[in-house]
Amino acid sequence: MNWNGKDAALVEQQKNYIDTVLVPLVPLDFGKEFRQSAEQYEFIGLLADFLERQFKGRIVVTPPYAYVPEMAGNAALWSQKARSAAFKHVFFLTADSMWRARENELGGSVILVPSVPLGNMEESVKYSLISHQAKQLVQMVVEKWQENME
Amino acid sequence: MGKQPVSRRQFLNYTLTGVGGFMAAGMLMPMVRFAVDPVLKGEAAGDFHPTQQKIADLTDVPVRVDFSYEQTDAWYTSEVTSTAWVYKNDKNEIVALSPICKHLGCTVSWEGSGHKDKFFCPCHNGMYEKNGKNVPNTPPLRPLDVYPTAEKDGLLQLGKPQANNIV
Ligand code: FES
Repeated sequence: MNWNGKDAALVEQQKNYIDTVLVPLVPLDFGKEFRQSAEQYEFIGLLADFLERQFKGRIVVTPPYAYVPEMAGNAALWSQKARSAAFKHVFFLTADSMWRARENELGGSVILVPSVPLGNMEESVKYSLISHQAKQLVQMVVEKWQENME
Repeated sequence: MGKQPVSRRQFLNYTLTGVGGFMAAGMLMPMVRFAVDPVLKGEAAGDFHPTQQKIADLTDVPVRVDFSYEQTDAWYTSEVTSTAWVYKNDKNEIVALSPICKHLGCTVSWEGSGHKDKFFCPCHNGMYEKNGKNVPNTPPLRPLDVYPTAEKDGLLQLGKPQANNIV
């Protein structure tokens, strides 16, 4: 489900089935990493869209959580709130490798994907690249649901 | 007053008619455009989108066909990508099913997670027969939608998905 009024109404009705929150997690930088942070945002956004379409009936995709380093840890508040509103699973989708070491802080599963700079790529090339990446993610998401059940 | 070529009242009349005219035109133009624009009309009538799938290559095993086309949203035109599962049935007719699960809209896949001869939905284990019929006692309550199909130069074309009445 997307973050809009129509989908949100469905989420409220079907909370038993739509039990997962996916938070795109993107670093924000205005200096040296400016371009890289924009690229990650673009890439993660496209992947999140793809996953939303694949798992529309079970996952709701939130607005991205964007952070400067000092704010990174606050992402945990999102998962905390989501859980206390009875969402069973919280997934964070990110290309920021820092989270590899800090997954435990977040209170959710981290799906870490290496970012691909999309630059001026043509739409169709972009699409096939993203869908290739996303196909592997699909399997990962299904596995995370199973792990979390145990 | 009387000597002036345009009286105050006349002046107001002219200008207000002018403004009103602009406003009316502003409202009418889009309506006229909707009424006559052949592209918009075509969309409404459900015209066909080309795909790269060769008709000759289709067998009785469903294959995934991705295709994209332009769609105009509220503010801009974007490229949308859709998917169909396509095969030939035992009467040699082409069947193209929408992958959108009729439960809550996840994407189903043919023999997903090892479910033989079924379309499988990974979200809540929904299942469908090959012809799109939903399997009882799984969450979906209706069969998968079907795409109208057409052929052009040996390639498959797909229309707008419709409720399935072949099952
Ligand atoms: S969305 Fe397919 S079974 Fe629920």
